[in-house]
Amino acid sequence: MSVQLGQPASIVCSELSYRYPNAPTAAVDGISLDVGAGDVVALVGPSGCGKSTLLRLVAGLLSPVSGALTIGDVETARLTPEKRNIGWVPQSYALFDHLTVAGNVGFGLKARKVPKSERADRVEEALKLCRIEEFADRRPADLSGGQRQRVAIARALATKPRVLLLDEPLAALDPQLRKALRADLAALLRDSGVTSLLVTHDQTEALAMADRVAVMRSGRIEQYAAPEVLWKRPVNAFVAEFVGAAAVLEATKLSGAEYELTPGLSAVVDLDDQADHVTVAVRAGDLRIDPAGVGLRVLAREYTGDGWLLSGQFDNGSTVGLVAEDSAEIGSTITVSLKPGTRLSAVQK
Amino acid sequence: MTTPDAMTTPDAMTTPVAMTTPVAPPRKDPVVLIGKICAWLAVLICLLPIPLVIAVATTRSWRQGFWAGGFTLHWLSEGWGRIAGNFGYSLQVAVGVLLIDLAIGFPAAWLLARRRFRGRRLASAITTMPIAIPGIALALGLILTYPGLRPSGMLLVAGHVLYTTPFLIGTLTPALGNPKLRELEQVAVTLGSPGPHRLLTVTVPSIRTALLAATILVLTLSLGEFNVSFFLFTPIEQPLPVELYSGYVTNRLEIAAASTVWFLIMVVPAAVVLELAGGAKVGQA
Repeated sequence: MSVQLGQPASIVCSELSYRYPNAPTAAVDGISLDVGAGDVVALVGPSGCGKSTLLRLVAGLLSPVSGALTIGDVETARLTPEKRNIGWVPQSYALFDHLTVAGNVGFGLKARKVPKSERADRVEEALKLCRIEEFADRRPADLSGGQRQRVAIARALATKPRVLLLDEPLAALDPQLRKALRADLAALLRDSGVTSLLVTHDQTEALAMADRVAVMRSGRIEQYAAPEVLWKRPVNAFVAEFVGAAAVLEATKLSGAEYELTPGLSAVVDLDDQADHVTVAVRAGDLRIDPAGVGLRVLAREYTGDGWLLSGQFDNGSTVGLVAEDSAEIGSTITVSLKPGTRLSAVQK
Repeated sequence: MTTPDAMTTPDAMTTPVAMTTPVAPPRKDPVVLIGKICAWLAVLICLLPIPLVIAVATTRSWRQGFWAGGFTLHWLSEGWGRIAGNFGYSLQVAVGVLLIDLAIGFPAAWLLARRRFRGRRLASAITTMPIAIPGIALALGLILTYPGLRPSGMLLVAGHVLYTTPFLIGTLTPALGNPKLRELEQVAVTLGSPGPHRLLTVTVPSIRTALLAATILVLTLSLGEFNVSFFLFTPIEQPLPVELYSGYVTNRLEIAAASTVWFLIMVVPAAVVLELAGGAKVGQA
């Protein structure tokens, strides 16, 4: 199904900055970001990295201290939120409890004085797109978390926004429900065709839902790339560690593109410029238990359901994680090797 | 390699230990017990005058004791005849006071809840100050400052406004400052809702509980206020509490008690609605 409710617009942030009153540092520090029309982009990063602040700047709920913001062809940084033609879905969904689901979805249309007949059609269209037609007469208090989320998105889409902004759209849901609704939400955003900028602290959500992901730290974007690129070629140790919890190790050149991580364990490293010493990202999925491998002293273990996530230390002091079918005693030594064909990414420290 | 510990002893997870061991009922805490007794005593002391007043108002001749000479509704009928006019006047004053309170108090509460400005704490303290000032002082202050307004009855209204506005502001400020309400308003803004539309369709409905509580609070406070009313009433019309006082001083006790019963009938339902509307939680939107 491809129902396009609004004409999607690009978002271009140029050197955008914001500092909260009396804060010692900027929450958003000169960010430049280009979101293509119709793209789904995720802002991801640890708490306090500025991702929600950036979203609120795009929404117009905060005014930047410097920089430019363009939505479509319109310079937007000084426009009030009601003139930006955006859809905003906050973490709590913020549904109007005194209105029915249909009343919520039609709220923006009524505020914009859309004629009654057209309003009814557009409410129905949005309810249908979000598959909540049967709840039209219910009150938000009578809905589940997932249904409430859909109402909030339908309400935002009903006004045909050029951009949809979602702040932690899955955070208010139970962990079990969150995973189930992730694919649902991703499909809904694609069906709507609207440019979507979403904030999440969960890198799995970001990788699963977005066309491109911006990894943020301390008010700046560390890397902005497609999920596969982020995973395979993280630009630095922070991105490698945050996206996929990679271990970052020092490696020494053996020959050509082959580098040694610890005596007896070497790998091919993707590098533009060959150097004698590089820093590489090793993910838990890159290693395997191998009787012919090198020794790894087990430091911790965690049962994941499918198997065990073990973390351990090589003799040279480097620590890594790996996924194993069976557990191992903490303090014991197991032998590991890299999976065949593994190519590691070089990252900046 | 080992197997997980939990998997080797599954029984430990499933054996219903609690069902095989009888559990003794928890012992009552004496402090809680004493607290409960004190609380119920306090309730009893507060409520005792009500049945007493009803008994006096329905006794033919109170001097001879409870229901001496028989039960009668005569005093209630006579009491209503005496206070009906005063009740109408007090209600008019209360409604006027409420409208003025809302016109002054709502913007003030909004400002105190939403804006961080220099002198905000001082402004907050000033808005609540009349609560701490005795009614007599308020009334005398008004008489001395605006003596010309007294005959019109406007001074009485002004006195009630001074007395009740802090309660309205105190009830509305936390509701207007609730972060959930602010988020609702932000969503409304992004949906294209202009200020007045947002106020009427989001803000007011979202704080309806606090608004209802504030309304009832102001009406009941104004209806029952004595100190300010006693000093500021005009000879032409007397507010209800002043008439009640006058009844106890000059009339038979039975008539005064009957007037009090009517007063309670007017005020108690409002207090019950106030409690049902949220009571101590009225500040929450």
